Amino acid sequence: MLEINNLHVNVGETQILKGLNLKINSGEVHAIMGPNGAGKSTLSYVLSGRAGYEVTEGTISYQGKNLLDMEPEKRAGEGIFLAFQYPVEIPGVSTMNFLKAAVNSVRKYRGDKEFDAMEFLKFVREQTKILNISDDMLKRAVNVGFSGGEKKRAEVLQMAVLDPILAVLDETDSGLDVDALRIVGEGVTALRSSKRSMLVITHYQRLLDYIIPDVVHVLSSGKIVDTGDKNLALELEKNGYEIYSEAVA
Amino acid sequence: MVAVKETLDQVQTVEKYKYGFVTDIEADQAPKGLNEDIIRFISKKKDEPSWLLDWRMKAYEHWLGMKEPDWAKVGYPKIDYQDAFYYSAPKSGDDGPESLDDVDPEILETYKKLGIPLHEQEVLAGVKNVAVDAVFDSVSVATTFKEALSKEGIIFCPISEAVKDHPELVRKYLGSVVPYSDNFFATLNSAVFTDGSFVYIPKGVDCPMELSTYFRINASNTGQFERTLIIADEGSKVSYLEGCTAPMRDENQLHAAVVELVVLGDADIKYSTVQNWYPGDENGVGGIYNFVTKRAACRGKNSKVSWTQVETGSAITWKYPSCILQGDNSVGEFYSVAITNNCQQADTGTKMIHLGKNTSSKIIAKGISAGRSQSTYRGLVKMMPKAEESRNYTQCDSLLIGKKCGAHTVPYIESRNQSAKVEHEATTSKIADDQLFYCRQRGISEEDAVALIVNGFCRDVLQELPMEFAVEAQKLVGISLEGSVG
Amino acid sequence: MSLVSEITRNLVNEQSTMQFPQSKPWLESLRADGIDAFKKDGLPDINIEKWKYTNLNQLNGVTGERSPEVAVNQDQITWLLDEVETNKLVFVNGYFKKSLSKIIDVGQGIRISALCNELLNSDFINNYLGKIASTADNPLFALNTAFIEDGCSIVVENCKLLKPIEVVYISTGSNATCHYPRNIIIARNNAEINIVERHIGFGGEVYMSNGATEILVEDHSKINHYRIFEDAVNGINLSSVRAVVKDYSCYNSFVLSTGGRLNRCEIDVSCAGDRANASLSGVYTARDQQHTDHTTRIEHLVPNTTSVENYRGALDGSARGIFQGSIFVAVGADGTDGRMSNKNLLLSSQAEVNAKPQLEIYADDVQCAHGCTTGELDDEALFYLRSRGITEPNARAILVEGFLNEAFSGIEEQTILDVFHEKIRDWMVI
Repeated sequence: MLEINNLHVNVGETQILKGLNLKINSGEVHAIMGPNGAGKSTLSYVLSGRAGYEVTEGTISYQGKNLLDMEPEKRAGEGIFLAFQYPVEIPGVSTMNFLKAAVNSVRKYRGDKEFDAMEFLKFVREQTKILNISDDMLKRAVNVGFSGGEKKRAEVLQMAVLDPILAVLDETDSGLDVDALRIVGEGVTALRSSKRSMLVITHYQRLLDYIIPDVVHVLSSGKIVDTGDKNLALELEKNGYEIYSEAVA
Repeated sequence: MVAVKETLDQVQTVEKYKYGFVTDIEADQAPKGLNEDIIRFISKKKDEPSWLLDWRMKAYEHWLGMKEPDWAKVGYPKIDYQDAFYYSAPKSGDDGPESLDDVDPEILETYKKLGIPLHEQEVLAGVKNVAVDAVFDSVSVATTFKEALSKEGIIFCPISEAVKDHPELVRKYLGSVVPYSDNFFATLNSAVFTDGSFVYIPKGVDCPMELSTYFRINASNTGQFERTLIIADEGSKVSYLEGCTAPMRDENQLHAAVVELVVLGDADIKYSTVQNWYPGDENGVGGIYNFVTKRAACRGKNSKVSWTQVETGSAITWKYPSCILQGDNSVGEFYSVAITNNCQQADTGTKMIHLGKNTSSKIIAKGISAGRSQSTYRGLVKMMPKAEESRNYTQCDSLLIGKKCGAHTVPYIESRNQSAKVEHEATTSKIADDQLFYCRQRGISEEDAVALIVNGFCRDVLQELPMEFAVEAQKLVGISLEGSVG
Repeated sequence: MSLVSEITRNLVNEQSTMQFPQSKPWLESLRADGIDAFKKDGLPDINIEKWKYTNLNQLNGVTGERSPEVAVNQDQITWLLDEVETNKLVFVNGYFKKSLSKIIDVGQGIRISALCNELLNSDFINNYLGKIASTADNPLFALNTAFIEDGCSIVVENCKLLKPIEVVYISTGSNATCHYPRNIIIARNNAEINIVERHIGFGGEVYMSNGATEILVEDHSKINHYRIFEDAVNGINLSSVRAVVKDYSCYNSFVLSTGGRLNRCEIDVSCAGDRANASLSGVYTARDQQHTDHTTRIEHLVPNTTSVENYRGALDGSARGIFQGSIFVAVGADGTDGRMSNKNLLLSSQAEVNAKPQLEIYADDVQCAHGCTTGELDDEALFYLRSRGITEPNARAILVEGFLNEAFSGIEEQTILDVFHEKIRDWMVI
């Protein structure tokens, strides 16, 4: 479903990803772990098509299509969703209007009928109940004045309503206390299905207590340097990333 | 805390305006007044080529048709331009001093009192060398380290000397940044300028020492019109300091200088000023009218200019050191502290004109008003149509000390490029009572506490000054505010 | 003779030939003061600092003649607040149209009328007219004073009039003529007024509307002043508001300007009483060759007054937008809190914005600040929206709209907020 081959990415003059390979099948949950500066966020931005990340070598094939040719909104339409590490604040735009614009854009792309205001309200309310998101939060401007936990819950809400095929979660656990982590973790887990793959990017193992991965990769210095099952995450938690940095050195 | 303690000690030991003495020397003066003959006189005294005299004359003719600007937030009685001397030089033979031995000992004593070393061997061991050009009234009296600099191909000399020795450079660049028709005071300067410093840094040379000019107005009733021209050729780098003092006199004296900086590709000029002209007494009698035009042209790619100024003196300050960012990726910076006390008035700021692509500028201006003074920040940021992806960030903060002073902010922001970004922030407030109380509870006197807090307020600017100047400037901040509290 | 001084001359000539229906000694002398003040310097040119960015050469074509009375049909007017019951006043070329208006609130403490009637029938308005604001320093205000004839007169005392007063000013555009609506709005002694103004123009001809409004809010009172400028394509709208806010009172202004070839909207507020508060919000949008200028001044004259100002602009095409804001704090006005924010978006490579946010402060115990930005949409926000599947043009539109809507976050009345949001959206989709 997703196949990354020999991916090299520059940001400005600096090479961040140096030959990354990754294959994710339908319905699988992969975790990517690694030290700071390994290139984890770069991978998430390259997948979602952010400007400023220059692919110098390699390919990304997504459902048999060349992902790198697509504009960000097209990728979203094709089912790629990125939960941002730092969700962007957009003053003046209410969360409700934003969600509606997003959902209808994606529905239009996928050939589904766009929701009218009432249908949409009903549709969103089903999801907000699960994630414990208040109507008041939907009235506020996108991410403006949200707490860390609220921002991440809002990201998961967007994921739920946009119904992605590949969800990339970039450090979704950062800035969360234990309770918020549980709510977010359970929210994501509820969205697991055989038709949906996930790529969970994280520095710590703790999120993986809630979202149990099928495969765990270690990303260090721009490459996948180790792959294993969920136990690899536990080992990393115990031993740290030092052995990989030595191996690379 | 050691640094703070040191500052406090210094604040306590320095008296009010310690530069207020008069040097008793014989001066060679042109008659009072301004006319074509006076300009010919100045030009002849300097043994100038005819092109320069022609240029002066064109400026004078233009000036006659100009109106003194009245848009600044400063007030002063009408200046009688015929009631001043336009040329005053210490008498020491027509050719000027050949070496320090020829300089009038009284003048050497003056600079010694001002703490400016003119004997090269006096420079303290361990301190980075500073080459000095000393300008006394209308002429340059001494320039140090000329030889050491000339080994690198650097030219550092009085501009009158440069006119003779390097006419091709002077002719090419003089008036190329500030044309003779620029503004009332710059035009007057173009007609009657007497001396000033000239610097040329050749391609690729990183000037090994700080260059500096000390300006001193001594004679009474004399206007000082110096002209400084600095050219940094491609890939070169220089840091330049300027200091100014004048005797305490009860008449107002005019200082209308022009500074032109030419920055070519990949070159870098850092220009620092500590302006401490006599500010007048606490009733506003006397003091210098400091009407100065300073401008830098970043002509090449990646050229950079940085203005840092600490303005504590003068009865009236009217100056806007500016940057014309013509070369792509060029950078302009303006860091300013302006302190006014008693009856001082300051209207100062900068202009950042973005012409080239990807140019950036930064303005940090701190104004402190005390007594009955008025302080205005006036600045222009202009993004021209071709200034793609250019950036400006401006922060201006004003601090008021006392109920009778004023602080004003007048920024002009003009953008004609879609991708250019301008950000401007300004605040005005007084010293927080809790800060003051906290210091005093710890045993610091109110006056010292104010000096301490104001120094903190100015930190972002003061730290831009070269080390040698930073300590001096910190002291000045404290002294300038003496008598402003309680 | 320059264009500006030629139009000045024509305006002065026209005024001298006017036969005003209402003539009383005090009124005649008020008009005479107006024309004298106007004559002194005439229409301002760009050498006048306040007019640095707006060149009145753009009045090109204006004849100086007073606009005629013109009939307008009921069906040519659409009301902004047609779902709520409101008091309605209609003016065409500055003249009150009784048949199109409907004043439902009358009685104790409420006096809503056309100024022409007040001038004819009583001397009541003499206590206020021309006395709240002076003609000094504002030639356009002076010019309007010279032509005082009609407009809105609203005085509310000891009464919270929550039903909005909706006023529509129509310019019909004929022969490049001029008209001068003069309004006076007073709220005193625990009063509240909500007034919604709309300025529209018909046709493609040049006209000049030079409105002036005097406002007094005193003794625990509040005025919410909503204004929408949607002048016709060749319309010129030059308006001045001068408001005085006294003890424990509040003036809230919300301005949206989208229309006209030249729009200058000047607001001067004096916070002149204990705990007086002023809040000015505005949005200006322009495209093609439009020129829009918002110039404000807030004076803090006594201790403990506050002001907030928030203006946003979006400029497209070859349009020019101007924001000039000034906070003035007088000697002794300690405890002043004044905040000003101005943000601008340039939506095209030919658009231009000039901003001058100014502080002038003569008291030390104050908290004053301003911020100003110009630039493009935030790349990060744009990417965030696109990553959610929203196409780039839609994402841009959402961001511009959100950016502009921010300025009106202070509107508490939902129906009115909806009107402002809708008007902004209307501008976006054209």
